[in-house]
Amino acid sequence: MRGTGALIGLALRQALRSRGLAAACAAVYAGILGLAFAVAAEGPKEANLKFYVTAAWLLLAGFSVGLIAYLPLRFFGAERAGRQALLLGTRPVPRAAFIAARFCAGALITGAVLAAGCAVIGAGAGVCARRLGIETEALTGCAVRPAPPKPVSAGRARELAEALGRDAAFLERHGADGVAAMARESLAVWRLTEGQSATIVWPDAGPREGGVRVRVKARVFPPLELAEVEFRAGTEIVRRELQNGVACEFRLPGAAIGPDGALGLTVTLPADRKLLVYFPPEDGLALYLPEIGFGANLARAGLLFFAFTAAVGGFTVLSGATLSRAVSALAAAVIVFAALSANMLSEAAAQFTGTRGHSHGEAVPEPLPPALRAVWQKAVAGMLAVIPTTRGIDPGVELVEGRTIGFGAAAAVAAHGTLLRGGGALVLAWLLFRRRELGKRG
Amino acid sequence: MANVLELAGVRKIFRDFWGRPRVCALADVDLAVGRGEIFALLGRNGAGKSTLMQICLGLLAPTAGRAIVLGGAPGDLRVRGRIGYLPEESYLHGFLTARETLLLHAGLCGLPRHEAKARAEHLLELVDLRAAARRPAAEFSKGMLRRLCLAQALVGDPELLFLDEPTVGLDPLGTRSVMDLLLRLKGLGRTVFLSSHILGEVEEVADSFAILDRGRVLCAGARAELLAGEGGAARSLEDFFLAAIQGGGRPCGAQARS
Repeated sequence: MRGTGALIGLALRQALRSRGLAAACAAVYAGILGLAFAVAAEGPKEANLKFYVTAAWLLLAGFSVGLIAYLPLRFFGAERAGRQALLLGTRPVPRAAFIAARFCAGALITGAVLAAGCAVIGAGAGVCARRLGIETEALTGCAVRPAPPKPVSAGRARELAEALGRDAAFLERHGADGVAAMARESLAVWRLTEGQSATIVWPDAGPREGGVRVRVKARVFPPLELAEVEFRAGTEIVRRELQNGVACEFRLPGAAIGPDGALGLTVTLPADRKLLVYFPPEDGLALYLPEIGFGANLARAGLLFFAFTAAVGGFTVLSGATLSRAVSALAAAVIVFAALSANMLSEAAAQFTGTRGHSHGEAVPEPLPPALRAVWQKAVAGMLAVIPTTRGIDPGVELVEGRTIGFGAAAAVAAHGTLLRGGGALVLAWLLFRRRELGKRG
Repeated sequence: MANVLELAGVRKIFRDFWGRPRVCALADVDLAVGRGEIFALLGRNGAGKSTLMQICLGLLAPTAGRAIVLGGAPGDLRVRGRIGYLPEESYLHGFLTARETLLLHAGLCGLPRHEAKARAEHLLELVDLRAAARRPAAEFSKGMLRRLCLAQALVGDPELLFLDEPTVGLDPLGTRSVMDLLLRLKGLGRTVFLSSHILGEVEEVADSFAILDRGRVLCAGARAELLAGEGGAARSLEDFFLAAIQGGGRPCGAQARS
């Protein structure tokens, strides 16, 4: 244990005495802070503030992942090049300690950089908001309540299922239960045509003195048309021009929520235009209920991202401990790229394999022949099963959209990513490293 | 006298990426070193001295044969805790100061903090680096680095010390003090296994030696026995070494590839 402590101390000194690392940290923090002064004070203020947070988070997240990829390579690579491993390898310290120490040192440094970076972003957001003359309230972490499904009568669902079931090929492909489920799901989506209105009720919205946010991301047909939609909640009336697939937000005061805590929102489409507007269940219409301040949400984002970077660190320790310097750098780059694009890969795999998709719109034609599709599916599934991910949560997006990042989500990333995948990579690193002949050159 | 080091049929073949034999560094080496003696391994450049030492230290695994160090396998942690190593070049972390280097290695040897500090101070004094204790190793001259490296080898108070070319880069005074130190360690019952090109120094301190050439042991034994010439007249180590090399060297690469 004392040997592991000594190795951690060695790695920390190695990193902290590097002028390059100090200069890079200073440049990133200066960039984050400087950006707060560079954001234009004119134009949509909330959008400008969100742009600042997006850009600052990207800078910090990219730097942190780069750091956790670089540090283990530096620890192992420099030692191999300088042959200090020869001396260290003769000491009564188990090889596992070398792996653990480099991982711990990398995680400690990255954690500190991330924590300091979050503090700088918080300060920068405050500066930016003051310059814009607004509060950081726009970034408050909220609990999201999607619009409840539209009530569907059993008779209407049966009618649609029968209609769909008349297509023998469709029935064969999805089965009777599948067709019935699709019919119900299809009917449960809030959909309006010209002059129609619908009232959506959230039964547990309040009471909330500070009011709530409503986020709308409608699909509009024809897609290039703008739909002027009226939203009414109690005496509050809000009009918005909805553009196909573009999100917009508005606030409702606490008074819009009824004494029973329910909030009823009536959506009305103008009668003079021939339009179809619908709100997909995934992200069409949702109520954002303020929970925690921006600072607290930022800290949670940092925590979640730290769990992710620690998991990536497990893999970069594996590559640093077992591969030569150039190959391990390449491997680390691939790991970082795959880990950062895991959400995109997952989406792509789901689309290509038909395991997920929109409940509306036309069927997406399969771009690959069945045999290749199976190979693609297995390859992507295999990669996703191994590489660390943020489990579909992008902390930067959550921050900007004002969604609360739950401790549960951070714990899930820590459990699945850091412990399971990162830990697995460390065990593999130890198995390979303990057989390594440190006396060999190269 | 019990042996602290025993090698039996040790062979080391370095292979290329595809696993094909590239170099035979050691061929069927048998060697024994007794407790409390100074043993010198002699040989030309590339004879396999460093490879042999690294096998004894567990830094390389033998392709065949067996090495027993202090009664255990070279990689055993209990064995490692009882040995010290001075490599042929001073592979130290340049960003650490002399004191930090010794504290690091003391920590790796498992010494408690206060004991490690005392040990580091004592060794800094011993190798005459107290004045430079706060300077990073990267700023040291070659001789200073060599002395610091020697100090790190001694930090765990080892029973068996492996010294690879210990006097390379040292001035005559430094060389003299290292030789005195070796004799002092011997007096304390420690065993020293050293390799060197400087035959005069070896002749002065070694109790026994072996000559290694192209991976094979040409001869090994007590100094007095090996250097005893015909009619009881002693030969110099240099004469003996040259005669052994010129008369006995035989490449083993062909044998390794067969």
